[in-house]
Amino acid sequence: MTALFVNREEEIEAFERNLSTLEYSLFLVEGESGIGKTALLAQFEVVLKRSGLPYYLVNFRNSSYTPIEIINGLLRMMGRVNCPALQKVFDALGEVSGIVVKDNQLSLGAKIIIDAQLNLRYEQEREFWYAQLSGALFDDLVNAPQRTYILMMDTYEKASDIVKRWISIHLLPSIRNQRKLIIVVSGQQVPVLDIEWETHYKRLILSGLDLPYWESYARMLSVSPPHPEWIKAWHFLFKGKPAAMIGAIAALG
Amino acid sequence: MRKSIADSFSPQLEERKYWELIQYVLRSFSRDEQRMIFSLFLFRWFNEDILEYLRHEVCNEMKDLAAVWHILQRLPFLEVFPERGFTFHELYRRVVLSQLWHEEPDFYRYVAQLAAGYFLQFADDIPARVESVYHLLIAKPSEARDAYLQLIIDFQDNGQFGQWHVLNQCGWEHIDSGRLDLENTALVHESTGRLLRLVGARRESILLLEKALDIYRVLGDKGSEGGVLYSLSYDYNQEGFREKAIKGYEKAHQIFLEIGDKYYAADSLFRLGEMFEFNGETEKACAAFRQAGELFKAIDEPAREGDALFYMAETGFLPAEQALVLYHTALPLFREGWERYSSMPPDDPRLANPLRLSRARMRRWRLYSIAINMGDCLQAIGKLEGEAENYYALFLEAESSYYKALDLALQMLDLRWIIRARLRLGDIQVLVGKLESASHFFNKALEEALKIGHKLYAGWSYKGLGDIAFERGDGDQARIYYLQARELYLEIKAYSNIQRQIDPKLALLDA
Repeated sequence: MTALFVNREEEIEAFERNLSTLEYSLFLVEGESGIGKTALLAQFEVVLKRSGLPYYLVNFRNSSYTPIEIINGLLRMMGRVNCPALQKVFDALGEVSGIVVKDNQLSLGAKIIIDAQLNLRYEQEREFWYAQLSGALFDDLVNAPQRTYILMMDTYEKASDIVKRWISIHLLPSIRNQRKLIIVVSGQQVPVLDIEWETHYKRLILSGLDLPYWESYARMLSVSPPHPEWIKAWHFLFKGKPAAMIGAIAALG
Repeated sequence: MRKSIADSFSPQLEERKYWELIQYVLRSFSRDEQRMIFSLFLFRWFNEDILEYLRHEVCNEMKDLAAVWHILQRLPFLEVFPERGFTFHELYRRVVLSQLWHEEPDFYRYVAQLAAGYFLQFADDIPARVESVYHLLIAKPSEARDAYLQLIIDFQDNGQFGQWHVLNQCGWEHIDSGRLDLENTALVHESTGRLLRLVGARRESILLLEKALDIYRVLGDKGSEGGVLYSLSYDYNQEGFREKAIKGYEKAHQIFLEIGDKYYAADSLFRLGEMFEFNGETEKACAAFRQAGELFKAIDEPAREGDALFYMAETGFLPAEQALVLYHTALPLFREGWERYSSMPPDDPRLANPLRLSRARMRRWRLYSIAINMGDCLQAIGKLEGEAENYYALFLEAESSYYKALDLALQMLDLRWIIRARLRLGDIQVLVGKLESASHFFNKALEEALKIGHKLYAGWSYKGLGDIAFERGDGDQARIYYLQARELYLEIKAYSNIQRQIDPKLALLDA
């Protein structure tokens, strides 16, 4: 499996610093395939585990994720008992759909049925319910016990259109001026933000890692290329892209 | 900024260097092991069961599953696929699949067939059905098309948009890599367009449906062309491209005639009539409805013939006496249509449609339309023959028809249809003097219309509440409701509603 790398100090530091300063509510991690976005998010996870902050990570590589599944993940992160506003919306939704949700417990069946019920409804009614759910989520967030929560979404470009719409219409506008939920969106494409976001987000554009890093990486793994120039040649060919460099260096082992 | 030589590589060269790297990585593995690994590259994700299945099918020597796992763990491009198992990094996967497709197409198809066979074992599992289509698109394109179409129908029926998105992504992966035949390429465009349409991204949907349309034309697939054009015409009208919508419906009408689908040939004209009517072009609307009605009659579709006659009468273009004749002609046709559709099995072939909707869904939709239109027709006759003895009975029958419509709308979950039925029930109950019940329907409709920002229905609800207050002799309250309705109608430029429904009432109150 792809080895984790740590040569993204600047990005990791920016993320870690923000957990204390809460300067930004949104991080956008951008870069082409194989540049190490997923690996960077794995590093963010390490930071979060160390800091003890609650987080929820969604990888849209499995692109069947729906807004309800993400809301369920957030509920789990925030603690279901801390979300009375969401329970009220589930109760209201239950009145028109017959789905009973108790104590914010969304079983697999309930998630599927709620999702289907919302999808089958007229587009504007679906938007109404998503607005209700998102509004309740943020009401609950305000009163949630932790100082801040983190939602990380990877491989954003593979998310379904309904999820992308929910994120851009309901989720992101709600977090701009608060710091109770910090969101990291990572992908080859990320949401387009308007001017109002200017001071609220941090963009991290990833590029290939420099040659000295790969030379020391090879030394660390105790692999030696058949010719001293090989690493340099690979670095040139693959533009220091981690997915390729790690593969190439591993093949020497 | 100066570009480096590495940046200047063409996509082919880019792919080539990754392919060299992969070969280098795999150089120490046996041929059997490489065969196993390349087979796994075809899977969007894999797990232990798939490994076990493949081991028997593609390897001669690899007897031990643990050995396979050991090999995989050594690969630098193996990744976790959330909730499913594993996959290979997409960069490598893209390169390997491209190489196999161009250099070893027989091997590619062989493994795709194996993979399709594996997933087809789980016919009840939706994600497995999606994966089987992904592989069938390569192994057996014509079978894939049928399976893809069935999934679109099922996903629309069950609201499984997440899985529908995955299905489309499967198709797009093949399109982007140049592996898909033209028939399925059109279908993937259409499917993506239809999903986008349902999630509210109508502009993007139009672009995809237009692309699908172009391909269907090249292929000479008239049925699909007509179906897409029919949907597109509706969207053009919604987006304000009126001329395109008119041409679209006219062309769809011709296409359906050519292929002998007279139902949709007539229905295209009917939609055209609705469009003209909405724009106040009553003469053109009348002509389109008349033509549609004749076609529906020719294919023995009484309910739809009734629709056409009723809508002709409703345009207001014809004199009241002629309209009354049309209402009277339409009414028995609605009754016959209701009997026919309500006793029709949900999978009856007559319910087949080019819109990728299930027959059961189509049946419910047609029953709903009949119930609403029959109620409206009864109400219209009752109002025009207000002096006749049986007008009260007509209103009661209309009420019963609207209850049926409400029931169907509640089953279909479409709030617009639910509100529409509630408003009709409110209106008819005012006419028969059930003011308490009418008030309940209007208040509920108002609450729901405001929920989805439907100003026309919110205005209608206020107007209904005004009528109740008026009937109760509470002029002040009635005026407040009528003015609220007027304001909403003004916002959406529904001037004819103001003229016909609101202003006469306000004048009465003033008098």
